[in-house]
Amino acid sequence: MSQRQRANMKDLRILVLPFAAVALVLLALVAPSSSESGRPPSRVIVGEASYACPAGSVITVASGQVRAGTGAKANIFPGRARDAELEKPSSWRTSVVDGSGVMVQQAGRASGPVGFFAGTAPKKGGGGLVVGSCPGVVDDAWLLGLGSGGKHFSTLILTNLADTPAAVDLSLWGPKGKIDAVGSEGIVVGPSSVRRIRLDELAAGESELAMHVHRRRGSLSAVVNDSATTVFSGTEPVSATLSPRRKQVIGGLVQGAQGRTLMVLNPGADTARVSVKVIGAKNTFAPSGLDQIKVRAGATRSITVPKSAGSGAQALQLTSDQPVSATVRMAPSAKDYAYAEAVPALTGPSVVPVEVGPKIGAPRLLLTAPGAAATVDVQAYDSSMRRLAATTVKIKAGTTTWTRLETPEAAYFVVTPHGKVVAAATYVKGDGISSLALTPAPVTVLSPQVRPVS
Amino acid sequence: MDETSTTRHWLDDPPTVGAILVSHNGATWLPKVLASFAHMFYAPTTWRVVDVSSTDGSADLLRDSFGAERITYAASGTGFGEAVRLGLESMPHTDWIWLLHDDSSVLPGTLSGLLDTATSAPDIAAVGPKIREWPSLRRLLEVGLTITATGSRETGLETGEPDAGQHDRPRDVLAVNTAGMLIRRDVWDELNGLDPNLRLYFDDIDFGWRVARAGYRTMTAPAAVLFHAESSRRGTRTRTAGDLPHWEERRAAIYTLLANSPMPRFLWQYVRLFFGSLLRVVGLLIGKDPEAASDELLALRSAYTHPFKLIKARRRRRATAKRSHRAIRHLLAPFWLPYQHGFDMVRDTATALIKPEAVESVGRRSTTLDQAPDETEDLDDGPSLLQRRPWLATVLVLIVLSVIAGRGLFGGGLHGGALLPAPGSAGGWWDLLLGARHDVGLPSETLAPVFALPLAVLATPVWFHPGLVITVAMVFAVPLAALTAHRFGRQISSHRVPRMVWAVSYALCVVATGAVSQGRLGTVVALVVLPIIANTAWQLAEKPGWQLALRLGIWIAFASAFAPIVLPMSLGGLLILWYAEGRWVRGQLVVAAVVPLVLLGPWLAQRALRPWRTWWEAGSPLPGSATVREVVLGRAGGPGAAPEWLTVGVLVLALVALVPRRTRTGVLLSWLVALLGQGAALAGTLVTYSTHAGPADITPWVGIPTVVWIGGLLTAVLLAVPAALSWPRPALTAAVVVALVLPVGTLGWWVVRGDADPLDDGRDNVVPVFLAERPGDTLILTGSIRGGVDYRVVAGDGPFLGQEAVTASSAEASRLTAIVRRVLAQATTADIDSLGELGIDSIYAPSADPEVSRRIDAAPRLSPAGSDQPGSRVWTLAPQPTNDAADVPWWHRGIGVLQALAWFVAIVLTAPVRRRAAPEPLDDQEDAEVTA
Repeated sequence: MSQRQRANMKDLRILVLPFAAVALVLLALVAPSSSESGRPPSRVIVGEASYACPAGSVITVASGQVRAGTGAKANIFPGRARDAELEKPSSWRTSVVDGSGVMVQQAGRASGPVGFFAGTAPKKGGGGLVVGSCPGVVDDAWLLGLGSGGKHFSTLILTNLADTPAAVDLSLWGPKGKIDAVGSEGIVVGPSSVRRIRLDELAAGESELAMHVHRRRGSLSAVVNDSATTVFSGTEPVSATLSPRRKQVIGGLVQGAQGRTLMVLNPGADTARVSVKVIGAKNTFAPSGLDQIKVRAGATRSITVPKSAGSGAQALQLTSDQPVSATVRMAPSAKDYAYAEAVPALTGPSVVPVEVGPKIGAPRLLLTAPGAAATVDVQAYDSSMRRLAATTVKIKAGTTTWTRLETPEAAYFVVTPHGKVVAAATYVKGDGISSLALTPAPVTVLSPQVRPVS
Repeated sequence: MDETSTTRHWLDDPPTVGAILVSHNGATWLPKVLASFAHMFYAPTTWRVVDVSSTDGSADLLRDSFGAERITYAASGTGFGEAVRLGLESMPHTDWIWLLHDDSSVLPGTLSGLLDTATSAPDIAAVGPKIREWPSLRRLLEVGLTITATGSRETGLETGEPDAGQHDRPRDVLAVNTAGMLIRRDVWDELNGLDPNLRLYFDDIDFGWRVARAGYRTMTAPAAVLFHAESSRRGTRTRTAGDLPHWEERRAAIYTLLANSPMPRFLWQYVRLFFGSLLRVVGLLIGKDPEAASDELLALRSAYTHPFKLIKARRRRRATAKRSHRAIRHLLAPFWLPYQHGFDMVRDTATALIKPEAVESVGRRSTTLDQAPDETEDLDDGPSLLQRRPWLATVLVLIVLSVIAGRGLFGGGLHGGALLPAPGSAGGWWDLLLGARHDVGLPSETLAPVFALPLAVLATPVWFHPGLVITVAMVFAVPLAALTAHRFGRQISSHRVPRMVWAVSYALCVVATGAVSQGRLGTVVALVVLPIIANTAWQLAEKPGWQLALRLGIWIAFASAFAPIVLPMSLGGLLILWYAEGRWVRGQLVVAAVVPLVLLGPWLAQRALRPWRTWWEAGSPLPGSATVREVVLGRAGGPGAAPEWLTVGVLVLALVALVPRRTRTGVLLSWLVALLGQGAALAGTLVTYSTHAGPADITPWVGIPTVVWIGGLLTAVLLAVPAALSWPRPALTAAVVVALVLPVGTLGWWVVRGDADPLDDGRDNVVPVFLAERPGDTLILTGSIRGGVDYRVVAGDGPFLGQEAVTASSAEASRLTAIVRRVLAQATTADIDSLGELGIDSIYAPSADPEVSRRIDAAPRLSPAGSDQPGSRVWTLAPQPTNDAADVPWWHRGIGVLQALAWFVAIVLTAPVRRRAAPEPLDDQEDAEVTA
């Protein structure tokens, strides 16, 4: 190789550096880069929970938990007097509270405190059996089946659980559309107090109403007491049903095809077409007459469930092209009625009260598996939280089954799902009937992912 | 001066003058001194010579010149005043006494000049000549004397000030030097001559002070010129037994001050001089002058352990004083003079640190300021500043453009982007480093960031406006970077115009990345300092030395304190230097690599525990968003970045620069540095880092390596300029045009866009004002339930720059994270109480997610409050906060002090060692002038 060639070769070596630069760029282009992963909410264990129960001389309040708590406080409203009976976090306890309401605050890691109320309404108010769960702090409550007429009227009971003022906005819908209720926004509830609002004060003369309770500020719970002396008569607490959505399951329809009314609210701006399937004892089927129900935009509609839906214990599965909320009113006799609300499938243990006032019979547990087959563990406990019995109930896919929760000395049952199960408990006392949609005890709760920044 | 033409009234009745020459080992100067006495216009009436035990043949010279009868022999150790006294005893009484040293020669008109002034007024008791330096003969040494309150002998002259007649007006002074001093004999007798306690030093000042208090005047007579070798002060006189120790000069200063200060002031001076001297000892040790420190201590001991001597001296002075001290106060040095001396010393040290190439560490003078050729090269044929001083003009233009680009940012409250506001005063940064409690929200285990130390030091002179430091750094980033780059450019290129274009291009790259607009203080500081690092490294390669290596390490540490990524990159740079220079600099490179590790200390360890955390610069860890394309084109992503195409020309020219063989070595080195930057920048686009118990998954900001990449390419182009000059004219013109695209285009873009946005000036509204006034901290929540919630805890109106690095301890952060999760899930009273226990008394959601707000609304013991921002929500806690400020672990303060000390010691070590002056040989040539 000549000297000139060697020099040329040496010259070519200078290209190493630009090539190295290009190589680094290519490497950076093909190398995987770090990217921030999503941060969906996850569950955290509840260490303390509060709930509020309506109270009165004819109402028994029951308090319990999944696991023994470490402490409990029960404040009676108004006045914040203490109720020592309800402050035993390691037992099932009941008390007839002399006040307009009671707030129970129970501590204990994953104890899952729950409260219920039960009683028999006086005849002048419609009579009938009342069994309801005591709600905790509510963000949004969708309540259907309400009324503000002379023979069907509802009372919204708002309880402020905190020592700061709370405020809510109410929206009302009727069969003819949204009701422009005067004074329905910015309703203030004083610290640690109960406020009862008769719906006829907001919109008088409506036989069928749906209501959305939107908590604007503060910490409060909401429950509605519904009474009727019309075609159907009785008294029933109305719990919140699921917020408007396209798919939902209304469980806990008791036996008897008579007097079932499906009430649907379409708060949106477009007409909703709702299809209803019945999840019965043997299978899921579409009954005639419940296909493509049209619900006008911004209005409620009540549809009598036809006999084609069958008369057994069942659940309704609603599919809609627009978000809707729905509830079923059940009036198997003219003496009393009950509501079955749409609730989500159980995600944890749920408590079914038994010892919740005198002379209430053993409840029936209605279980629906809207998807795949599922099982539930049912355990009976006495008032000292001693386990008395345990059984497992199997639910076939797409069916509804029921079982009577009958164990001597049992104060409550704990229902633990394995699979997707929608559950409700129904109570019967004479002509009185009441339904309780089961929700999981507050053992865990969804919480956002949290991280510090600078 | 034409002496014969002068009209002298005193010649009508000539005064008698007795001259007394005191000699001690002055044989070196005596031949010339004695020769100068032979040609005086007006000679003394009588002569007397006192020889103080000379051993160098001085006595023989004197005897030959004056005769044995005019000589008095004094014992060894006799002071000057005592020697004069001995001479006077055997000399006839004269009207005036003329004191002469054996190292001071006179001109023919010296004595007559003195008499001109001395006889001009009856109250003049002492007159001194204009003393010029021997052997230089041109430089002024003294035209009168005074003393500062710290005991410093002041002449009022600049060092080395040449005599151009500027002091040729007789004036009243406190004192004149005994060399050539003409004194009235009666006043001498009245004041009992020179104080025997001042045997050599400060006897003149003390005497002048007493003369003034006695109601007489001391004047300078500039018409009389005397040349003084200052042999005792300079140590050029042969020392013998009995000579005074070096510390005597300082003792004499203290003694003089204490003996002459009036009573109320004396007490203050007594205390002040004691502690002031101790401080001087520390200062001298820091200034690496241990001999002077030792002298100071010995002088202090001597002065303060002889109180009775002082009492007697004060009593004697009281007896002769006729004027109040107030009447002569104007003769003393102004009070601020010692502070000016201190400032000059600091300035010299800083100059030595910043301009390593300007330091010569030999001889008595530690530093000599280099007169930069570019700045000093006057072109007489051009009237404009641009022609005479092109670089100075360029910098001035850049400063003006910086002011334009920084419009609206001069309020002193810069913040925005990654930049946090400055504290209320410089004390905030000092407290962050050395305080026992940090008002940062949660307890913290992390050390204060090291960059708080230089910020604290720099902000101390502007104590109540520390934001000025930040404003100057950010707004004037371009001229600052240009200055440092140009100084480096002078080392690597002799072509002035390309060098200036190169320096300006580099400086503009800083703003082109968006670093200024995004408030990336760490990047700005590091990029301003990087050329100094390169410059020092270059010096190290040229003249390896441990002081340069230490200086290199200090600068690397300084830049790394603001932007830790500089450290690994600098280590890479040192490897390149090692590759280029080989074993000659290996030891020095180790020093340069180790020094930053020591100076950054445990703080670095905290950062280095997770290597990617070194990307976290000063300020908030604001994520970067650079793409590979942006990096290649010299951008780092985010707002405030210049158009990418402006850099394309540099890439092309850098490739072309590889072609010429004769400049290839330097070009290759520049390419290597560029690749180092490019590699680091590209790596930064691939990784994320998390702060200690704080923000996580942060994409690094790669501004520094990106500028290193482009800066390296620019340097390659600059180094290829000599070869390019031989190119054909069209090719050269094309290259020049392409090279100008970056500076001209970026300059235009910069001035039009400005520095602001997101950088801003004014109050940083982290929380509403009313929350800032609350006693507790504020929990700030952002985000949503579905996407996750981010929180931060701020004390007062939010953190200041530096506090962002003091993140909460893992335990406290985990605890608060859990509490916030529970609050956002299902808040309980206990949760809210826990917030209070952590010092939090309010929650603020600046852009409140409705679901988040609703969940907080549901929490007990929280009260909604109004907010000053639309869409935001505020809640206040019922429980009182119990823990407002975070305790700092005790060892943090110790580390803070040690770290500050380490920096101090390192900087001091880079200063040259000062030694006592070695005897200076006489210059024969200049001696000849005296003879002439």
